[in-house]
Amino acid sequence: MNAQTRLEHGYRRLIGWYPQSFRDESGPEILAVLMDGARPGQRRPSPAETVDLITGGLLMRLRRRRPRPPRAVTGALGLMYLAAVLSATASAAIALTLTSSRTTYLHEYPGVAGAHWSSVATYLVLRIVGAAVAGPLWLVLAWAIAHGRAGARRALVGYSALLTIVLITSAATGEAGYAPVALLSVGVLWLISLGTVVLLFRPEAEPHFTAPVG
Amino acid sequence: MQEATFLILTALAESSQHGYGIINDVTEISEGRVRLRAGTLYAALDRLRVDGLIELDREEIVDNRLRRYYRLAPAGNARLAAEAARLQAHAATALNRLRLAGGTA
Repeated sequence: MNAQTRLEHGYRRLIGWYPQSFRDESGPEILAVLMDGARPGQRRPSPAETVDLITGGLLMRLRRRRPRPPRAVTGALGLMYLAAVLSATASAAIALTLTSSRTTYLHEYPGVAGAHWSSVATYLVLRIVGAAVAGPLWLVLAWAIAHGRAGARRALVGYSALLTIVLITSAATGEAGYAPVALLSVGVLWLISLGTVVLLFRPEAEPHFTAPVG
Repeated sequence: MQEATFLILTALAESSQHGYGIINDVTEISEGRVRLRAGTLYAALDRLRVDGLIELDREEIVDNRLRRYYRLAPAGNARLAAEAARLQAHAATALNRLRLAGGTA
């Protein structure tokens, strides 16, 4: 093996530290630059070159190779993180006020049987569980949207529709009277989900969802 | 903007260049102070391409080796002009204050 082949072999091994997609695209080009810059008779990569290429390869693996998302998308992501925190808070708040909700409900509707309260309570417990699940769900959707997954955007529309139904049902059953915290939290989350959907469907957000995932 | 990025954009300001050409030009512009290595250069070129500041001009095969030529994109041109004006303004202020203080500048 002559000096040049040996050197080229050494450089190729170091270029192996770069991610596959980058190697496919720029590997031969970097190799050409390295060979052009080699000293006459150089047989192996210098320690400085070794450090430079290993660092470059590792950095490239950590780095996201997509353009920064448009402002509409970063705004939507901010709202989604807020929604995740609010969902978790809402779940705890509805659970903590369940007893006082019961007292108020039975006081407001003294004529109704306890069985009726149990169906109301079941609905509230479903909301506690729903809000607890929604917290991590918002985060998963935010991750998917940050990575340009259009499916996550559609899922968010579905979730907004579900929140609309919950909001209407809650308001119609007079929740404002006996469980104001539950009604307020679903109202706020509904507004946030609506804002997120509007931002994500703005024309400026479109390229973020149509560009290939990198 | 980092100095290496500024120098790479400057190297591409007049005409398109390939990777090894950029390394040599940056050394010349910085009077030997900044010697880019291939890993550093390609990390910067990748970032600049993703951000739309530079673009691919053409490809050539020389001695069985691939050479890609890069050029400034319109956004890169604007960024470099803005950064150069900023640095010039700072340098002018520095020199002016040194003069006022009776320095050597």
